[in-house]
Amino acid sequence: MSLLIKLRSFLHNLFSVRSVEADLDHELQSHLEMLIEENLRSGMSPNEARRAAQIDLGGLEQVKEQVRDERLANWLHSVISDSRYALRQLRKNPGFTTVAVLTLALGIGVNIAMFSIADAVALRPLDVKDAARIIRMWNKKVSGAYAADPGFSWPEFEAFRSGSHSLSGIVASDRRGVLLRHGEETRQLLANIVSPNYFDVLGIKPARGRLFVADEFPAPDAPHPIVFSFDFWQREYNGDPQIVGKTVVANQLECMVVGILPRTYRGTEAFLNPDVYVPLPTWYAMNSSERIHYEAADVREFQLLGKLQPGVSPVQAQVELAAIQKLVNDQLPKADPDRLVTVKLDLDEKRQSLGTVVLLLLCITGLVLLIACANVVNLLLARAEARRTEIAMRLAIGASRLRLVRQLLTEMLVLACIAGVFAYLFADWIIHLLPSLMPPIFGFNFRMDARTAAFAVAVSILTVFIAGIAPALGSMRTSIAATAKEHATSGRRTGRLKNVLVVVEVAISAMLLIAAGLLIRTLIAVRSQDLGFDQARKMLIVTFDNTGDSADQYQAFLLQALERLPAAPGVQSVAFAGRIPMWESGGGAYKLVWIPGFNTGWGEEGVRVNYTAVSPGYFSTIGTRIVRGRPINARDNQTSEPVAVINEMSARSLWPGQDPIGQHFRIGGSRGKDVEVVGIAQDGHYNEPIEDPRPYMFLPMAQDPSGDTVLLISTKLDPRSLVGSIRSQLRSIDPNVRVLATTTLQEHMRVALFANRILVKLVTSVGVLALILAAIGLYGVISYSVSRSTHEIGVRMALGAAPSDILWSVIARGATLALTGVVLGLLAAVAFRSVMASMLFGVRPADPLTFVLVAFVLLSVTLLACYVPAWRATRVDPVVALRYE
Amino acid sequence: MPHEPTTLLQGTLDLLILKSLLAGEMHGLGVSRRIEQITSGTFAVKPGSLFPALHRMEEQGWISSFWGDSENNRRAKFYRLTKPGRKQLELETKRWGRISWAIAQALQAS
Repeated sequence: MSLLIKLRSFLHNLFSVRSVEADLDHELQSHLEMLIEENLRSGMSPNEARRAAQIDLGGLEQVKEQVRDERLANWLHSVISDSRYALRQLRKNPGFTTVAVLTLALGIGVNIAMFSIADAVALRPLDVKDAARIIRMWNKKVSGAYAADPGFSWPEFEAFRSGSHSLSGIVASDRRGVLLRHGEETRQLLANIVSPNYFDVLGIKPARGRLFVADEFPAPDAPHPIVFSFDFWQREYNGDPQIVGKTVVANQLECMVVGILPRTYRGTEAFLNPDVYVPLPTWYAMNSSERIHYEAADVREFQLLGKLQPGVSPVQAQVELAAIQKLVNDQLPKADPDRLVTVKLDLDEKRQSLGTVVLLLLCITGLVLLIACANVVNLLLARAEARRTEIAMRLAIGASRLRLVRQLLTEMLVLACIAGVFAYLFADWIIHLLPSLMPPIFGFNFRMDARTAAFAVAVSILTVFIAGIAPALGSMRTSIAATAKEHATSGRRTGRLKNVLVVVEVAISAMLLIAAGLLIRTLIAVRSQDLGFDQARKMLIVTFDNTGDSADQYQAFLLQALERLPAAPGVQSVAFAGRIPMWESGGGAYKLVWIPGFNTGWGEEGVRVNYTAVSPGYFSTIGTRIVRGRPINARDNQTSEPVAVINEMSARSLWPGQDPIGQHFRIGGSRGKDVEVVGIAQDGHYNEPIEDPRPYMFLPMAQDPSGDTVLLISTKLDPRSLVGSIRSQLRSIDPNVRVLATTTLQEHMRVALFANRILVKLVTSVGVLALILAAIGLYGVISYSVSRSTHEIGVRMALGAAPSDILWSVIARGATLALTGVVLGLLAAVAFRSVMASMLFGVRPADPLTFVLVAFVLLSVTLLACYVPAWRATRVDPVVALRYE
Repeated sequence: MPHEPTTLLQGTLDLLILKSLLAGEMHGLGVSRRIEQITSGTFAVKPGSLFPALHRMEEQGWISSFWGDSENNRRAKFYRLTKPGRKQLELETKRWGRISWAIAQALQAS
């Protein structure tokens, strides 16, 4: 009740200022008149009566002011009037306002953008219902060691789903490639194969159509449903709403597009945004053997996500699930008993795995904001001096110092608000630019939302305090007396502070540029390192689909292509491979290698060695050296003795101190196929641009036929120019073969190095931004000091100093600051080198070349920033300068 | 007439205003004169303290105001006690009783 009254008074005071004021005025007037009447009645003369009444009242305006102070909306009124005053002040100094707003907008904007990125990558929960209760599950060994295959088997999933009381829902998914035919075109897509309850449990509502019904077996004549992701729908169908309900052919099966996912849902994996979602029944309808595969107890390829019941902790869930898991795996003969389910909240997992990189990037942009603040502090200090007279005047006529500080902070707040708006627009622009800079497959959902806006407000307010408090406190020290003695010692203290700030700015940008330089050197080192193949080679990479071919037909196609394609114009050599290095298909394919007498620690099973199947000509086509022995050739076919080429690392670790050529091993455990080592290939990088040497082997494609195959064509021409002729050649060899995608080795390597490149781009642009801000800062300080010493310069010129003397003395002043900053920055970079070390490759954190280059760039830019005011100083006309005083 | 420092009056003034309005609705000058009367001239409330207090108490909802005619047929702003105001008066009276008793005790102790 009383709150309601207060609220009403507050609003009344706020919005009907006029009537409230008039009311007060009338009340006091009538009070005065009643006092006069009283006095008249007690026998005073009219003049006396009025005078006495006025004395008694004690000043109409003061009383009014006292009443106003008591009012609830009072503080707001003064804030509004302060803001109005601030706006007037800012409008009066357009130069100052523009520079300050731009500087702050850049500094704040880059932070908002980085926060938005950090939020999308590591901080924000998944875009699903009750995201805080979503858990991830993976398997470890019972000992706690990491298991090679952390996924789950179908029986485990089923047991969890029916037996768990700690979870309100659990979903299984796996990612696979799907060939989608729509009209004439065939495309290879990334599909998420999901349990039908997937969207139900995650609480996702479709943008169009419907999602899956959590019904295990659909009616036999019902269409097989699939769902498109929003991005894929936009990219491939231009957001055509007609597609819902249409039939498409996926992996030879007619499926119905039943719905489109919402824009916000980009999958549950940061780095993968599946194009299409296929429920398991649809997937099994595409290929019935998949059901046998997936439902076996020893196939553990499902990734599980669960939703905790409210109030249940991940640990409780883990205890329960582990008990269920043990029960089910003990019953099934083929299941692996050495597995222990591990449960973690999705959000914790995400923050732990990506948190440090994100934190580092936020620190870097935080430094840029500090630079921007330093610039604005310098501007404010310069202006505070210009305004000392005004402030002293206001103090003299009785403004309280606290009121003045509030006024100055309000001014800063207004500045930050304007800058905040520009910053938000700037960040918005960056965020919308981002998706075009990265492969569409990425699941990051960059957006500006309420969280970003809140962050923007917080950073802007923080900026007000960082940048505003020092000048405001400085102005509080203004003494009325000192201002009378203008040009005494006033500028010295703030002058020193300004110099310190500029030095810090230069130092920070030096650190950022060194970080950028080191990352660029890393990228160069990664690119120029020996990856175990010739990454500079001009090569066309073709993926294709051969559904419809029998195994024999397919082998015949491979042989014919190897025979006929080299004759095509421009083609140098041709080869097939199961995968090429850094290929998107993970590279986890392995064979169990068992060597008699070699203690593998895996018992009869053998050791896992990653491999790829290759055709004759592979090594020469991709440029991998055969160190010893021979490569795989055309005589290694189905009927000949099985052979293998291993890499140097395998040779060292499997046959230490022996000659591996001619040695035999078995593939698939102790009773597996006997294989002879015929050659040793140089070590290479197989999965990541930066990785440690690992054992690897190459098997003849004819002896290890596998489904996926990549065609490599090396050429002297532009690889893209061959696409047309290769496509028609392949078709003429085998009409069942359809080209899915073509790329060049160069493009392939660009994608492989994507993470390194984006880091370089980010850090470099932030570093350059810092450099620009530092240059502006230095320019501001030097210009200001030149304008302050116009008098001195005039005197020196009148005494016969040459313009070049003036020029050099001003530049020297700036150069001293810049040099100090650069030296401090370089020292700091050396001190912090361990932070960078983990992100570098092929370059030391204290790389002399980078340091020298950064110092050179920084000094050149900063000297240029000093040159302009220095040159202006030489134009000082001594007569004008001296008269100016 | 001794002028009491406002700091001491801070809590007391509200109490005195509420108490004087208990007698019926009155305008600012009336309140001021009534306080003088009931405190036997110990407190003379200056407009600089009176009006801010009246406005504050109105915002609190303890008193309400309306424009009416004074005893000399002059337009004046009148104040009257509200229900929450009466409750507040009771509360303040009790509180003041406790305080004055405690102060008296303290002063009697040697």
